[in-house]
Amino acid sequence: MSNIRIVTDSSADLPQPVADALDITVVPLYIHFGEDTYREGIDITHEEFYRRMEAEAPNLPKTSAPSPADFMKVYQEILDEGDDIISIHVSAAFSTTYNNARLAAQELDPERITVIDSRNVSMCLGWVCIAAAEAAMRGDDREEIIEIVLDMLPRLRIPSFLETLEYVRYGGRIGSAEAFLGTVLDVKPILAIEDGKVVPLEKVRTRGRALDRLAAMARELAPFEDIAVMHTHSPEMAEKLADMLADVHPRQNILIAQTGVAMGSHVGPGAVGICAVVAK
Amino acid sequence: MAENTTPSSLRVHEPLTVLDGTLLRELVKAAAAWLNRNKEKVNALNVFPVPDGDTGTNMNLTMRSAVKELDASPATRLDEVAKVVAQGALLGARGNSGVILSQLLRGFARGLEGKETATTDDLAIAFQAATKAAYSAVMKPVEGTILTVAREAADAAERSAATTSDIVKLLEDVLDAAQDALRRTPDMLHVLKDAGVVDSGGQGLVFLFEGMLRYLKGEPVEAEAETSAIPDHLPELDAPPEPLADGRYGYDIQFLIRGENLDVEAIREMIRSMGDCALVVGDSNVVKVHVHCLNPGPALEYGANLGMLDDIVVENMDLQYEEFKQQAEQTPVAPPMPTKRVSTDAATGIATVAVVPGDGLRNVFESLNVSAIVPGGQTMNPSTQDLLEAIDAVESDTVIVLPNNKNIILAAQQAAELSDKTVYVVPTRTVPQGIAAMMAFNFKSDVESNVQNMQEAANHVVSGEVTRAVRTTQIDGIEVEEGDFIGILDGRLVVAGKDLTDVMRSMLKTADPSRFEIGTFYYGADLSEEEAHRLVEALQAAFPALEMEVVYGGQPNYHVLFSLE
Repeated sequence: MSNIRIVTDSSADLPQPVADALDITVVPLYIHFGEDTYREGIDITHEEFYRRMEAEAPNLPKTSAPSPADFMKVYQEILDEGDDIISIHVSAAFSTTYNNARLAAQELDPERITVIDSRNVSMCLGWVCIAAAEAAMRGDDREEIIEIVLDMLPRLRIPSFLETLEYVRYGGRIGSAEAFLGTVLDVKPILAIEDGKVVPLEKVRTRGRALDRLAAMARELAPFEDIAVMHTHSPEMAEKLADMLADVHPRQNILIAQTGVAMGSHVGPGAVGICAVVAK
Repeated sequence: MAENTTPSSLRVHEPLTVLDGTLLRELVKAAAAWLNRNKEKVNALNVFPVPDGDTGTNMNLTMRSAVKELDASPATRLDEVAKVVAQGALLGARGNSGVILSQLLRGFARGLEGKETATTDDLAIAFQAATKAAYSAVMKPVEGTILTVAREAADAAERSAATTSDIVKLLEDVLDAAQDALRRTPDMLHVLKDAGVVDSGGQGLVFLFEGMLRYLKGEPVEAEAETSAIPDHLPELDAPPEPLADGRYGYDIQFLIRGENLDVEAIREMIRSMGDCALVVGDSNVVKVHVHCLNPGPALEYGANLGMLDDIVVENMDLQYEEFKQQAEQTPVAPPMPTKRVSTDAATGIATVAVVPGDGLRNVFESLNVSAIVPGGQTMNPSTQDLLEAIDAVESDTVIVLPNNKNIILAAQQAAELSDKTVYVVPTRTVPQGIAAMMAFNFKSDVESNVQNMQEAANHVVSGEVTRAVRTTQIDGIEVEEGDFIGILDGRLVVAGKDLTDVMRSMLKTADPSRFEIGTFYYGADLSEEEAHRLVEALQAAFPALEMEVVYGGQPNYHVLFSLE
């Protein structure tokens, strides 16, 4: 029986040491500043990304999915090593990544490559990949791992606060959160992802209030199997939120990480969100 | 008009021992008429010197709704008449005083249930029932208000009924006790004492008792109130002119006569003979004429024969009056306006209804996805019926109401009770609280958690209001002169002064801006955009760390409403 290897994309926001330890292969998305193209998490640091984003405003960076060819290359290497693949990706509603992975799998060997739409993003996707990789390391077979993944997907929660709607508006990936556009006041949205799509939750006017509300939402969702506080270029807010969550989850087990720059280009700096797997 | 006020049957001095439905009708109308006559006196008793949602106006409109319902009903039995009155008052209730009054009438009607006629004993029971209903309508009953006046009046009715079967005597005792209680309201409520006034709602109730008694004694309750076609004075509207004849107003005619050797005295006499409100001033070369006539022809012709006419303005006052009447009728009961944008209703099945003054603030609420707006606020309290209509008009059966004014909360709660829908009132006391609540509406939560979230969000903001004092007074040690800008922070008057910027600066300082991230300033109809921006620039200079946003509110009377959060 062959081993299972987990493949995902860079929007899973997996910390590199975690990916390395669990032997998860991360396929990068692309970031384009004008003519310059970078691979997310490889060719450009967060600092440089946000510096350029600010410097080149109002021209915003664009993102693109890994191509089917990119996936074919990665898949082929793994297949050649004799392993089978479960490839788990960012919501198909936000990116063609999932579809390109699917095309690559069909091209190569659909029997040995299973592609799953996580219908989520960031560490919500990351937690699923970690659980799947851990199961693979334990020696679980394909069906068992798929079952673990499918059991987890409905338990992912991602209440998030955006400092501004400007970037989301530009990216056009807002869906029904459109209800929050065009407000007379300068409101900051709290959003989530449901069924693979962005949904509006409520509006706040201040960061302080945003953190209060996110913490309150987390309290309603608790207890958690796993929880991360993700941010775009605002570590202080993330630390503060993690501290506020210490009463619902052991503080040392709350992962704090910076969201990838592809996501950063869609939500802008100053966003902070919770990526949680609620307990069964 | 004498037949309205002095029924011949009552001139006979034998005790009146039985109250029937027909007489109750007359008593209610007399009470309403007397209150209408005296409503400005009640309005003058506002504690805060703000252009307020006036108690007199609110109670008067509440009574008027009761009389209107009565006029439309054929009821003759005592209990039925009382019920119709209660129903009319309930729907027409405006402001906290109006709601409490409507509850008094509701209790009174319940106390008379099953009675074709009533004796003093029956009335004593009904007065007690009235008091009980009013107390239970208020979450935290406060003594020194209309409630105290009602309670002591009811106790007097009980004592009186034990010794007399004369209804006039009972009402005299009731009025005495009510007046006595009213006089003592400042001793029970220090805000009244500080402001040097008695309780306005209590005063309104005393006028109602007085009106009934005046009727029974054959004293006039002022006939003009019977011509209910003339709308009540509303704060934004000029009072209507007096009709000339046959209920017609005719034309308002103004012109100049230019000529030589004009005889001002003679012209004045002639013009006076032609119509009303004649005003003739000038000298031998130019005379200014103003007069109201049913026909503009003769006055103009007369003037033209004396010299050359100039600056002729002729206005049709009948049309103006019609407009006035429509405006007066529309203003308080404008239909709920469905909003154009995605509403909470369409998105979640939970409708939101907000009471909002001003077109700018309406845009704010619409952009925050409110389902329906009831125009109104501090200077214009919507009636229970206005709120009920908005609640009924929205699609959903689950509705959250934001009254956005402390004087509208009770009417909203009353509307919630009367509606067949599931209605929650988040008792927002200010517009900024309402905006905070609206933002906190969560598109994925159920109605209970939303109500809780919204309340919590409302409590989270500090609300500021700035208006001009309508009289000179002293509140909480702050000297207020008529015309001063006064700053109210979360319902407390904190500063008064001549300069708007100074007043605002002092308010922000009092609130301690270091506690907040953002201040949002909604400027009213009394400020221009430029003035508003200049004002906020000055504030920004004084408090550079606080983020500030200027938004057009368009609210009447309140130069600035603001929130700190």
